[in-house]
Amino acid sequence: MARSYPYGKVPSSIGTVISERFETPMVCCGYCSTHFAMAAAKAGFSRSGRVECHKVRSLGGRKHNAGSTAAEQRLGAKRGYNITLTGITKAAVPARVRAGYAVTISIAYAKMPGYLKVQTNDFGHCVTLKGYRVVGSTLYVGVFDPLWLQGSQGTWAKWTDIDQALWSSGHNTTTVKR
Amino acid sequence: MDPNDKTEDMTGPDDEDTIAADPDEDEVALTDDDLDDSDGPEVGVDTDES
Repeated sequence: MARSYPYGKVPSSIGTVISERFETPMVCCGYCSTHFAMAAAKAGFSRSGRVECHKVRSLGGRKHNAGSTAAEQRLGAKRGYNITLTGITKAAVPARVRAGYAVTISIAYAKMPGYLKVQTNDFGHCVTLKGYRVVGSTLYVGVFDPLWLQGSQGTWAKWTDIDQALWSSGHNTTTVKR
Repeated sequence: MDPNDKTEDMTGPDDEDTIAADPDEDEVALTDDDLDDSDGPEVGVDTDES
């Protein structure tokens, strides 16, 4: 299945997808999302997950092909690249995105809106939000999903479509630099 | 300025390493109510459908 763009594509100037599909088994959505957030906060990172993602994974304490947790992502980013990432509540996510920060979120894949999905299965997934726009009273956020093609544009999604699929707390991470 | 002066401009670009900027400085402060560093379930397990 393929994603669609009912609300348009996010301009490349905001960012492009760092995909986890460069290897099999994949490095993990959590590390590619962390990589995107790190690159949004600090210059000098590559756009491929081959180096940064595995370094964050290893220093976060996880073997390859075994998933990740938000705390491990934050720990690996700090140990590997001295990037401070902070865990925030679900309620704090939209304001943080509107303030210009990158925010990685943990989400139930099966609950994601169909226009963002490229698979039919269900698992705990991690994507990054960056950029926003408001049309009328509707907030749209830029979504960058590691399951999408490397270098592709993000997709604008309604915040309410994202919010309903988030886990309750403790799994959302923001940069402290924009 | 003397148009015949061939002295190189040594001012050059600012070589400040942007990567070394203070990573702990939060530009828009979070409140205590915003913070939640608890860990959670794993993501990325059984992701690949192919």
